[in-house]
Amino acid sequence: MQNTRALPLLSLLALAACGGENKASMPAGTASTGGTLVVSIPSQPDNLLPPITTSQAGKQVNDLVYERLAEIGQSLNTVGDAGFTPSLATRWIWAPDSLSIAFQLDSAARWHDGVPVRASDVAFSFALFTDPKTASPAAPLMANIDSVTVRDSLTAVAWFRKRTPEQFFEIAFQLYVLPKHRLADADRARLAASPLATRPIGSGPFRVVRWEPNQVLELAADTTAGRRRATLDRVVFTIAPDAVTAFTRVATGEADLYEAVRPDKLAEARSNKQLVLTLSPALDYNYLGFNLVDAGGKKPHRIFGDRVVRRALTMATDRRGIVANIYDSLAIQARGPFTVAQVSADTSLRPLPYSVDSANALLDAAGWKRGADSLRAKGTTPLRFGILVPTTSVARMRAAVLFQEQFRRIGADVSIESADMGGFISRMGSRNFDTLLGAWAPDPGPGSVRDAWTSSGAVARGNNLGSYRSPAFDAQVDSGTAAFDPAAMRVHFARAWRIIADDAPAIWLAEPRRAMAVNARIVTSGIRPDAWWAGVAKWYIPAEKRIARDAPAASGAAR
Amino acid sequence: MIAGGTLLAIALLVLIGPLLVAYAPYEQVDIINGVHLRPGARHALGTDAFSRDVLSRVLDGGRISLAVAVSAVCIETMVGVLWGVAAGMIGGTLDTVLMRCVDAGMSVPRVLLMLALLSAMPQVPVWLLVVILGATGWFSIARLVRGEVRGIRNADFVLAARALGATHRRLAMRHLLPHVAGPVLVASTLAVGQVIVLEAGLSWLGIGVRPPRASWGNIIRDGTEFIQNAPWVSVAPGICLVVVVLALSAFGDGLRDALAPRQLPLT
Amino acid sequence: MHALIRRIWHGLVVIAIVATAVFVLVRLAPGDPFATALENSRLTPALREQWRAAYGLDGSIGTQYVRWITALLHGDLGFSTSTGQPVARAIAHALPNTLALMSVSLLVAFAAGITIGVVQARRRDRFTDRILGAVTLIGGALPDFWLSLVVLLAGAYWLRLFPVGGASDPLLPLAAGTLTRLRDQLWHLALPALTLVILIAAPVARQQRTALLDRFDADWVRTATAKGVAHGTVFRRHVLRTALGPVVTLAGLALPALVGGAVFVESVFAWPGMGRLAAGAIAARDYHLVVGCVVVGAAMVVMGSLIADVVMQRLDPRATVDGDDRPGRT
Repeated sequence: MQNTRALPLLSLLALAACGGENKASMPAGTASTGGTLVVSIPSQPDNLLPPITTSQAGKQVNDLVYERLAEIGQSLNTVGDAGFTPSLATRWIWAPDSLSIAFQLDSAARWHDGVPVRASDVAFSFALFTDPKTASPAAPLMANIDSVTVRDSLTAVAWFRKRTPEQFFEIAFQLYVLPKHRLADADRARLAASPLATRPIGSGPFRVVRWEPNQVLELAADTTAGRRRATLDRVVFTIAPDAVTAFTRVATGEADLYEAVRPDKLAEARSNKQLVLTLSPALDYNYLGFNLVDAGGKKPHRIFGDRVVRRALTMATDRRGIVANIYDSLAIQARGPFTVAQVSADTSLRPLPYSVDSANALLDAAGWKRGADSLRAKGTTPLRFGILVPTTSVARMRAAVLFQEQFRRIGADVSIESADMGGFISRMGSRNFDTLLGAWAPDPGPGSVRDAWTSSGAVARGNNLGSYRSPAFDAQVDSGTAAFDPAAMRVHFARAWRIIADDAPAIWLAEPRRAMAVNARIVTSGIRPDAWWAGVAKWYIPAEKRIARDAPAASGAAR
Repeated sequence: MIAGGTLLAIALLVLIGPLLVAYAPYEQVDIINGVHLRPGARHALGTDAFSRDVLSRVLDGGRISLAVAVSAVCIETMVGVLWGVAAGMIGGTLDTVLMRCVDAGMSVPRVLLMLALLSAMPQVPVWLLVVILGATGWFSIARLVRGEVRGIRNADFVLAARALGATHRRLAMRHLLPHVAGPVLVASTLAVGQVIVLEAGLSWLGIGVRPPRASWGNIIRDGTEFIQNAPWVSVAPGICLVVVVLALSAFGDGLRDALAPRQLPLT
Repeated sequence: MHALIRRIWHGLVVIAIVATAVFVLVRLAPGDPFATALENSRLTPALREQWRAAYGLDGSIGTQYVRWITALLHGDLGFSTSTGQPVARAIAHALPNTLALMSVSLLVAFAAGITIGVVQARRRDRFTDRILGAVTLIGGALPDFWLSLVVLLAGAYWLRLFPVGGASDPLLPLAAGTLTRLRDQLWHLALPALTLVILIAAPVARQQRTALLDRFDADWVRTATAKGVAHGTVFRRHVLRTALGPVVTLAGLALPALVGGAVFVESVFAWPGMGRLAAGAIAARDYHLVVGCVVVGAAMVVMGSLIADVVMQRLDPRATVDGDDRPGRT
């Protein structure tokens, strides 16, 4: 349930370092190999093939099983290659014109079946990711890469169409290197049906030893390569039926880690001596979006086509109260279509105030008069609309009920149209809604706002769902994205945010933070703000804190 | 007797009760400080996660739960009786076809059928929920009625009426229906209990009665999430649910014994 | 024998009707088999359309149906998009769990139910009968999802005697012995089975009691008693044997309710069986898996009632195998 706010991709900037990792300043125990980390997850991966994996759990497993050419650093910098550390590639050489980068692969690297990793695997992986038949959601992120060629068996060269700040990030980080000898014959249109979708063969620190659907997915440290062996013997993902059970397993010690403690369990998690709580910054925001056009798409929406009505409805809502009710302290109020962690954020932006009186006055003035049943109407059009919300999101379902009541107080008749995620997405895509409770994890880079809120996204398959169009806003976003000077960029974006906040195409609600609970016996390190699992290969359990399940005999890998 | 009394009392309570409580069932009194208040003087059964008064929701929800169940069973009974009489009286190929449909209907768990139908609907008006509940529940009544009709089809008084030239319609109305009325009444009474539970289960899964409208099922659902912090939210509707179903099934049993203890089918 | 073949044939027809109806139903619902938990900016409608085509989920319902039937005749139930495996494999994983849960629950519930019924009948209208009658009345009235929740809360959260869900301890070493494994599975089975036992045993007991009392009053029993046959012998030889019939029928008829109730029970206890698989498939719009699950469920029900009829005929030769004439279920 809670995974609806799945961790977004990456954020551009340096984020405040997380708390947990400092706990272990050279602990008493030694970092000898062994031990089991049990991760409690509320739903299982969709598949384990990086080009087509869309689930959070699947991404976590992929990151442990497969390797990239280089790993992003703790600062999450995506510009140039600063901060990147060698992974499958030991070093890389930029061409003088920056239009190609040659990656030198680690000669010791082996697939889990013992076959050496070669440059041809890199070229194959790129071809697989970008083949239209594969239909990989990640393909657009590699659009700037023209091709990957093999210079010699251990050197792969990536060729770019043009020089961009993020070109290294695109090839080194977005591309997982996959085994050519295992996938060359796979039907690319039906990759999910390939055996590797459930039993991946990677070159990473862990390999999958078993996956019992809806029960358990077990990874064991790979020892075939002899290269960078993980300290832990195994990482076991236990799949719980729901978020409550997933947390309970950690609270009782049945599991060691749960990544998204819910607000109502926060107090319990804090008082539990076994657990170390780590807060990560928000990387997504949610909002109540208005549909500005009618179902046909041509005419302005009967209610939300009017800017005044949208502003009035925004002012009618106690956003701070709603956020506090849903998230307790686990979220901050969102101000606009950005998260405070983004470089383009403007934390001084003041949202429209909460004032029921102003809201009523605005609606009165705009011709929406209260009728006998205290429901407002303008002429024959009643102030009646629906809120589309996915049932799978506990937080948004709650927000819907809270919004509904606050709108009722100013004379609006609101119905909650709940749909499961499939139905939600399909109505979202066909623009078939009055308002919707959306959640958005912006892609890295300030330009990511373009698709979701500028005119360019307000097309049939774009992501500007409410069809908000403002030339002034578009212009500021374009100028901001094109700016090379950070200060100038921020000025443009600050203006853009002011414009969109005043136009109120949506009521921005919350930027949820994430609270991860880890058992105190685990010594964690290198918890990256976007991916706690990035450093798992170096985590360990001091010998004196090990329990029965840490014994080597307990490991499935010991067969 | 006790069962009947209990049912009557609960029916009265949910009909009149909502008029007597201080809060509207959807009213969010204070979403920051009024959340999950313990039962006390202001809120006899406490408040829920949205600071709504649980007592007023339980009363209002009971109204909906009971109304939905009773209406759905009316539909079930009507369809089931018509189907069963048709199959039983006419017989032959039609009987076989009709009964295969009933078999098919009975062999799919009703919950799955409802899940498939309801989970996709963004909004389910209460009337539609009633219709769907009714449309998926008539199979056993049809089978029961058919069995009864077949049993007496060749009874002397029916044969006599037939010999006297009674039409199919007259035969059904005057001779067969009165005879099957008893068993059908019993079956329907018991079915009300089942439908209440089913509706509660569906609402508990979030696909039955939708918010902010209350039903016992979705109040329990609202409470399940916070069962350890605020058990009172789901305890009250849970008890109501059990008591009503219990009363209904006792009442149905009593009815059966009173009508014709031997001939009637068993639960 | 002829009747038996006819019933099997009827069963197949029923399953075909069910499969077709469900095939159409799930597709009428709006939704998309390739939607994920988060609105994913990269998962564009065009991509989803392409994926649908790759897994045979494009085109009109008619086209899909023909395609599905053709594959089915080749023994292929299709590919499950939400679990990333062939439907047959997904079901093969889940079915044994459901069968285990059901057979244990049915066995225990019937043993308990019949015992209670017998005790009640022999102590007719006495204190024990009254008390047990009240207990079974309550047991039969408990809502399945609510009872599951209460049992889970009590057994796993308050008492902490049993695990909170799942079918086995995921951390159990693969090398563990059969005995350890079995003990672990029974330990996980306890709570969901207990819930189902309560739900099933109550109506069984009530049925058994009524059936026994009916037979006690029957003329031939009175005659036997009058002839001086010992009470216990009459009971065993005449009463119990024929009175078991209706109870066996109940077992067959209880199956749909059981399969349905399993949706709630399996959901609450995270039991990786057919109920949970089906519920998850419906939510994920995993069309092939939904149809697969329902067909298997329907087949179980059809088979169950068939077996019940055959057993009943053995117990009471007066009964016919033609199921249409057995009493209705309410």
